[in-house]
Amino acid sequence: MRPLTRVALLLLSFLLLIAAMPSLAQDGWTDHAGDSVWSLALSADGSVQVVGSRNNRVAAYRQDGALLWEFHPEGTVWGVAVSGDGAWTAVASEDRHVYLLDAFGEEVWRYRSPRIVYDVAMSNDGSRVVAIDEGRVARYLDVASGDLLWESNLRNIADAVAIYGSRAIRPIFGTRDSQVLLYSPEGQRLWRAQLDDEVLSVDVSSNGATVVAATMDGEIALIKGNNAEIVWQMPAPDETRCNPRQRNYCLHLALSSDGGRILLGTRYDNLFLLDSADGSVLQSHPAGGDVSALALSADGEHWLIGTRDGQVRSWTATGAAAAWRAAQDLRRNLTIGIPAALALFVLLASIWVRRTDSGRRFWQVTSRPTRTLLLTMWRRRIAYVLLTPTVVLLLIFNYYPALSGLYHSFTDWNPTGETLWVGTRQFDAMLNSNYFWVGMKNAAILALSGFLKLAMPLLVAELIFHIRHSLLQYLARTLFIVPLVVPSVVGILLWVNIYDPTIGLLNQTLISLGLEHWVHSWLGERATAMPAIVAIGFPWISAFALLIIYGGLIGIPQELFDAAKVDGASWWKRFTRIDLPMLVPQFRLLLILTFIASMQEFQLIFLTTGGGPSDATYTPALELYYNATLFSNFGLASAMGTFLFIVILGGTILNLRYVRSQVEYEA
Amino acid sequence: MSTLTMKQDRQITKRQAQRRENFQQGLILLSLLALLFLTLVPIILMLFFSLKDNGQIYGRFWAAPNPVRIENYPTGYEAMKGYILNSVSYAGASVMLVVFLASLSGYVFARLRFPFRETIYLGILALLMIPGVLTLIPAFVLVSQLGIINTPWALILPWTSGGQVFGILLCRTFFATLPQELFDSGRIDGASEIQLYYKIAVPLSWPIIVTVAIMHLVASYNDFIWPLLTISNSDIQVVSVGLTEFTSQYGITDWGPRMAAYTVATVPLLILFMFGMRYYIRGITSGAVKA
Repeated sequence: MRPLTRVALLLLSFLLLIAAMPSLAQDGWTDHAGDSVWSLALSADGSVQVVGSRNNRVAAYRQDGALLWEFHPEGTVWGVAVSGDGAWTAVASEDRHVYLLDAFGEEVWRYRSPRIVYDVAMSNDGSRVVAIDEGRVARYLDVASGDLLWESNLRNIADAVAIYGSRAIRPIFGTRDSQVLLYSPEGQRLWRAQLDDEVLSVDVSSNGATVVAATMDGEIALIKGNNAEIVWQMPAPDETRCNPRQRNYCLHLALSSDGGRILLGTRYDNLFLLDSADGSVLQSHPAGGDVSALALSADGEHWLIGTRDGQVRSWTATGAAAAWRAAQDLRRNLTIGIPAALALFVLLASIWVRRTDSGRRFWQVTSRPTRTLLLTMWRRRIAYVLLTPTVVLLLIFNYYPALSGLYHSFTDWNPTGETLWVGTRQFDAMLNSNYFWVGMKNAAILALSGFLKLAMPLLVAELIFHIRHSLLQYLARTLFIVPLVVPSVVGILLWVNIYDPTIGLLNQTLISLGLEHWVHSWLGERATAMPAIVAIGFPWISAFALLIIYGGLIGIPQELFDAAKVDGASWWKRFTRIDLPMLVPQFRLLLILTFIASMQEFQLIFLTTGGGPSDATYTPALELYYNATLFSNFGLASAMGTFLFIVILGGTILNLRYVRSQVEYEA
Repeated sequence: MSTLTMKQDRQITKRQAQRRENFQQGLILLSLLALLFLTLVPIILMLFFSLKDNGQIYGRFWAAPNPVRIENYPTGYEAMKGYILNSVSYAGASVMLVVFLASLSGYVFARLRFPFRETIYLGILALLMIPGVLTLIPAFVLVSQLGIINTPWALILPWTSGGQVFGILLCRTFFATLPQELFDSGRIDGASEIQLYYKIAVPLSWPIIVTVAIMHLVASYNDFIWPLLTISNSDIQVVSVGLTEFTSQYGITDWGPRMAAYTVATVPLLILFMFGMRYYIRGITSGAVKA
C-alpha cells in the first residue's frame, strides 16, 4: 500500500468511527398513505393508530405498524378521531358525512351534514363526537345512537376542533376569525379567547386546564382552560411563515394529556417537543416533510406524524428522546472530532514527510509545481495587493448580483423573509404572461428599427467624409455631436413635448400646414404610440454611431481609394466595394450595442408612455421593473432578467459568428 | 486637330469637372445643413420655449418670445440646483475612484507579470457581457441589505464598480504602449512598483485618464433607472430623475420654466464637452476598435 493511501484510510476510518457511534433510527414504523395526510388519531395507549388522507382513505395500524383495517369514504378525509380504547373511530369527509366505525373498520352509522365536514373529535370514553363543517356549524353527536344532540353556528369557519372531559364533555374550536371557543356539553359558549390570526390547530389537556393553539401568523399560544387567559404566545421555534394556501400543512400541534408537553410540527420539516410551561424547546427532529397532521397518544408515549407528500411516521417518545440525544452527541462529536481528525492528519502527514525517506521523496516530487507557483505568487504579491480593491468591488457589486439573479430566478424570492425554491415556475409564469410577449414583440420592433436607423449616421458620415474643405469638415463633425451635451432624459422629455396633443411641435406643424385631420394624441393612442416611440430622435443621427462610423471611414487606407479612382470606379461601386466591407467591424459593434440596448429598453418607454396605452408599448425591462417595484415579485423579475440575459448573449454570439469581416482590420 | 484646341478642350473639361465638383460640395453641405437643422430641432425648441410663458406658448405658438421671459431661468435654476449639485458630487466622487482604480489595475495588468494575470483580466472583461437587466434587481436587493439604500453610497459604489471595467480596458491598452526602458531605468534607480505607477505611468497617461474620467462622468450623469430605484429622498436625488419629479416637487407646471430647467440641466455636460469633447471622442472610437 502506498503511504498516502495509508494515511487517507486512517483518516477515513476515524471519521467513520465518529459517524457510526450514535444511531439515528427511531423505533416505530413508517408507511406511505399514497397522498397528503390530512389527519391522524391515536388511542390512549397508542395501540390503534388511524391515518386519514387525501385519497379518500382511512387506515388503522397496530403500534408495530401492521395494518388493522382500511375504510374508503367518497371524499378526501379531513378529520379522524379515535376513542381512548380504540374501539370507535369517527371520520370527517369531503363527501359531507361523519362516519362512525367500529374496531374492525366497519361502518356503524353515518351522519349526513349539509356541507363538507372539516374536522371531527371524539371524547376519550367514546360517547360523544363533535364535527365542524364548511357551513360554520358545529354538531354534537351521540356515538351510541348517531343522533344529533345539538348544533351551534360558530359565525365563522372552524378548521380545528378538540374535546375533553369524561362526564361533562366539552368541545373547543379554533376559527378563521382568530378565536378559540369553549362550549358546554349543552351547547352554550363558555368562553372565547381572541388570538392574532386564523387558528390552524388546537388541542386541550385531558382535564381541560390547558389549551394550545397554532395560528396563521406562525405563532403558538397557551390558554388557561378555566378563564381563557392567554398565558404565553410566541413564534414557532423555526419562525415558520404561513399563508392561506398552506393552511393544511403549515403548523400542527398536539398536547400531552397532562398538558405538560407540546408536540409541534411545521412546514419547514421540523418537529419540536416544547415545554408548555414556557414554550422552550426540549427536542427537535427532522419531520421528513411539510407536517400536515400530528397526533400524540394520551400516555404521551406514541407520536404520529403525517406529511403533505403522504408519509406517515410512528415514533415512540423513548425512541425520539434517544434520537435527540444521539443527534446532540453527533453534533458535539463532529464539532470536536473533525478538527481533531484534521489535526491528527496534519500531524501524521508532517511526521511522514519529515521523518521517512519515502515521505520526503513523495513531497519532493508532488509538491514542486505547486511550490514553484506559490513562490512566484508570493514574490509577485504586490500585483494581487494592488488588484484587491478592484476585485473586491467587482465581486460585491457585479459578480454577486449576477449570480444572485441567476439563482433567484428559480425561487419565489422574498428578500425580507423566506425564499422558496420553485424550479422553473417563474419562467412558466413569464412565458404564459401576455404582457411579456407584447414586450418581446416591442423589443424586437425597437431592435429592427434601431438597425435600420443606422443608415442615417452612415449617410452623414459619408457626406462629412467627402467634404473637401477640412475646416468645414471638422465643423460639421463637431456640430453633429452637439446633441451629446443634452442629458438623455432631457432628450426624451423634449420629444414628449413635441408629441404633446395641444402645444406639441408635431401637431402645431400639421395644423399650420392645414393637415388638421392628421392631428393625433401621438403617445396616447394605441395605434400611434409604438410608431411614435420608434420615431423619437428623428432624423436618428446618433452622435455615438456617427463617431464610430466616421472613425472607421478615416481608418480606411487612402491607397484603396486611389486604386478605385484609377480603375474609374463609380462612387456607388466605391461605396459598396470598399467602404461597406471596411466598415464591417464598426457595424458589428453597432448592431450588438443596438440589440443589447433594445432588449433592455426601459428609460425611453418609462418616460414617454409608461407602457401604455393599456399594454401597447410594454417592453420586457419595463415589466421587470414593475414586477419588482409594484408587485414585489422579485423571483419573477429575476427570471425575466435571466431570460433577457440569455437572449442578449445568444444574439451577441450569433452576431459575432455570422457578421464576419471580410478584411482583417486593425487600427 | 491642333494642339491648341486640345489644350482648350482639356481646360474646358477641367473647368467642367471643377464646376461639377463645386456643385457636389454645395449639395453635400446643403443636405448636411438640413439634417443638422432637423437634428437640432428639439434643442432649438427647448431654448425657444424657455423664453416664453404658457400664454405665449398656447396662444402664439410660432411667434417669437415677446416679452422675453428671462425670469424663467432663475426659476428653473432654483428647481434644478440641488439635483445638479448632487449629481456632480456623486458622479465626481465616483469618477475619482474609477480613475484611481482603473489606472492602478490597468497598470498592474499591463506592466506586471504574475500567475493568473490573464485569468483575472478575462474575469473582469467578462463583466462587459453581463447586461444591466440581469443585475438590476439583485443589486437593488443587495444595497437594501447593505443598508446603504437611499444614501449617496447606493449610487457611488455600484457606479464605481461597474465603471472601472471599461476604464481598465482602456488603461491597460494605453499603458502597454509605454516603452519598457522607462520602467527598467526606474527599477534600476530603486523605485518600487507603486512609485513606478505614480511617478512614471500616471504622468505619461493623462490623455487616457481624462478620457476615462469624462466617459464615466457622462455615463453617471445620464444614469436614470438606478437612481430611480435606489433613491427615494428628493433631497439627495440626482438630475436625471429630478427632471421627472421637479414638476410635482416645486409645483412648476408652466412649460417655460420647465424648458429653462431642462436647459440648466444641460449646462454641466455643456461645460464638460467644451473642454473634453476630443477625449470623449477618443474614448468612443478607441473603445470601438477594442470591442
